[in-house]
Amino acid sequence: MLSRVANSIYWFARYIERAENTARLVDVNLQLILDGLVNYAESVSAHWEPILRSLDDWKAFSAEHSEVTSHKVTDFLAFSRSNPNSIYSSVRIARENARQIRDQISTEMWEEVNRLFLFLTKQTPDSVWNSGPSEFFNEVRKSSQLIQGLASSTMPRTDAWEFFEMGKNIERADMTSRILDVKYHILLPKVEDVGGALDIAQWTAILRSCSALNYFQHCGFSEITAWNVAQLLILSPMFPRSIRFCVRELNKSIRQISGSPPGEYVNECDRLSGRLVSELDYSSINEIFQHGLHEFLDKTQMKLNNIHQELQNTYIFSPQISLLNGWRQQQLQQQQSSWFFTEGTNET
Amino acid sequence: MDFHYSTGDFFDEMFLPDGQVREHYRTYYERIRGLTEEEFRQRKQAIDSYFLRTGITFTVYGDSEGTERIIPFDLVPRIIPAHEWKTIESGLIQRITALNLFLKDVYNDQKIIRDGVIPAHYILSAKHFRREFLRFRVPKDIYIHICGTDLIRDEHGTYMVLEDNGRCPSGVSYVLENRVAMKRAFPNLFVNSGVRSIDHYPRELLNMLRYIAPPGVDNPTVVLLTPGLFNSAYFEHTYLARQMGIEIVEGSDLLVRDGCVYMRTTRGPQRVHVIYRRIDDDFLDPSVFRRDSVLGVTGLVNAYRLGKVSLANSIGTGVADDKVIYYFVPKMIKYYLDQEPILPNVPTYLAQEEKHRKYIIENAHKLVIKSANESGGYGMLIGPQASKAEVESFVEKVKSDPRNYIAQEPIKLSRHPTYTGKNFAGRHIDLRPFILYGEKITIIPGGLTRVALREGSLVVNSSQGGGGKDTWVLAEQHNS
Repeated sequence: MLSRVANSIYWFARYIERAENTARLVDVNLQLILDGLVNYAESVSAHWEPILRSLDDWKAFSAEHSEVTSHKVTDFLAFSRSNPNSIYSSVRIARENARQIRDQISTEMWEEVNRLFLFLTKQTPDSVWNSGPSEFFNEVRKSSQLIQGLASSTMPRTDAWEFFEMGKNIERADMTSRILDVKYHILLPKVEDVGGALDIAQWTAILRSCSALNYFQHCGFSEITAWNVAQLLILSPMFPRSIRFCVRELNKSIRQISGSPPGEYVNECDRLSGRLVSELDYSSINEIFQHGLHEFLDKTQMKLNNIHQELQNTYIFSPQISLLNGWRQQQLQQQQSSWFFTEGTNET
Repeated sequence: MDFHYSTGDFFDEMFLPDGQVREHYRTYYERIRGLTEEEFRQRKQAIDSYFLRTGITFTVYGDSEGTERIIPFDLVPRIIPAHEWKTIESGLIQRITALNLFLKDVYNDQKIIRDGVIPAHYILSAKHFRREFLRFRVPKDIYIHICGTDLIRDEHGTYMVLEDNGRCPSGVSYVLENRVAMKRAFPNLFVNSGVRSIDHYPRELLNMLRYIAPPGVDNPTVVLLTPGLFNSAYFEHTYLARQMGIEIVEGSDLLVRDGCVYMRTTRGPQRVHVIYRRIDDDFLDPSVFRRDSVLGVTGLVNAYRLGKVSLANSIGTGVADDKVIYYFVPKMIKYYLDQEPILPNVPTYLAQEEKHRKYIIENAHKLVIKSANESGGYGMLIGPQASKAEVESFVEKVKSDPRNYIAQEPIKLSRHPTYTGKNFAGRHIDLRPFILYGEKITIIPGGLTRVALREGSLVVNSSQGGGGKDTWVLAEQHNS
């Protein structure tokens, strides 16, 4: 398949997954605040800041807003046009990519991402805020799940499918690591609060952000502690949103394309993903906590990013077009001999 | 609902001057007249939301939000009876045949010039004449593979050719999608209606593209070359590529090595044999034409010259789109085919000819004056609707650059019942059929009917309030 098409499919899947995870994260934390566990202005701010930090969005947010309120954070993470990682922007980019590969994905997939985008353009922060934001986030989550379900039931298992899977799994692993990292940034008021009601509520929120609460309970962990939550979200070989699970899936797709068997590699991409799988396969939770959870998550994100870079180098790379403006201008100028298509040819 | 309105001085497609429904509209009329206003409005909404949902839109530029709009669609189909279509079809076949012979001639022997039928200066001064391609024989001698010819009807109902589009005509995706929308909104109308099907267009297009592949290639790889996402016709490009099952590529996806064209894939370069290009000549290859082109492929023209890759349409066809050359098409038909034109031109005057120019200047307020190489309703003056100052300033333009202006008698375009949101009214229409020239000449029955939705407007551009209609060509036995 065309490298450019592979790239579009990959980013399409990534941005859809990103929109879903952002929706989960904001929704769960809004509920946490509404539950009354975080109920005065100071702690509301202290609650959101780590979330923005773990998403690497704190700088951009503080540049735009002087105070941290739930309303403003929701605006920023869900609707902001200037934040490239907001739900709106993610879906917009996903759709732009989908538009370029309409011949490669099923009509149903295209229509759903198009519907989601049109839905988002019609929402305003105030209307969502007033009518209860949960409905809104639920809609985003459901749409993303529908797109992934449609991909699974309508895409032939060619390279296109593998690139879709790679985008989805690399993004999911990255987002799970970020959601887990939120807890690192949250400061508990006092040391003795560890294991207290607030601590447990926060860990529960993290499990719910990953749809992992049910499975967590099912696994028979005796209590909600940092160790247990991290055990599940990092190392579970069964849970489809755990980092280990996602990286294994990612590695599978990478090898499906390169054709190299487990334990061997033909390019850097194979090697790095193979190594990360092994690291996760043979890590223990005690070891991770000994070295520091945050440091571990940080390094994992870097490793995922390296795999991403190698993917680009190996399969996608094409020269960057620097004359962006000229490029767009020339696209507009193409004579398509139709009276329909004259709008905007006067654009300067 | 009541369709009736006064037909006025115009030829109405559906009604006779006395208000009777024309023969070929009767079945349709009987089936539709029972619908209530409310039902009509609902179906209109359903169609609009279908277009929006499936992304059948064009992008409004200069808007940072990237607003996309649907092209307004009118619910009342235009119907063409079999015998009329037969005339149109043979007229278009005659015309494309002559145009191709003309292109072959001007790029090779130039007999038509030597025999004094067309003055040499008109051809040499044509903006899109590619002297680089003199003496170059294109594959199978076909220059224009895909042509969109705009037809109008005058107040007597005579079909006339308004212009030929032999470069990258667009709009065919709307022809196909308008039919799909119509079938969704009015499934019952199609039962036993004798409407000829059009959905084989992508297959015919692909057959044609495969036919022109370089010699010796049994199973050619065909691609569609698009300028990219920001082009207003991008929807059409992806649509056609998808329907044909071919790759849609951008310039940066292609590379030329050893005179052959390849596309960059995840498994390395893959050879390309035929390119359906939706990029203008000027941008095709920065090493030959515009140097600043970032949409093209360096070395593509050389590969084409070597016969390693075929292009549709060929390079240099734009000379036939020149409105001055248009004037000569009836003469070409006579010269190459020794036939009378089946479809006449609109009476046209060339500002370069002294006698004509005098007539144009004296009668500018009565004529339509057009620039020879612009389209989309730009660079033209509709004399009867213009102010005195506008007419005068346009006449100055004509005087200073007579080669690039023509004038035409204004035609009272035929009208068609059109839904206005409240009732039905007569609105002016035209027709763009799409002609494919491959092993044989194929024309899908119908084409794009464009309608000027604004009352009294003669301009059917969407930027100026135009929309589209489904176009029905009836099979023989359903003529009456």
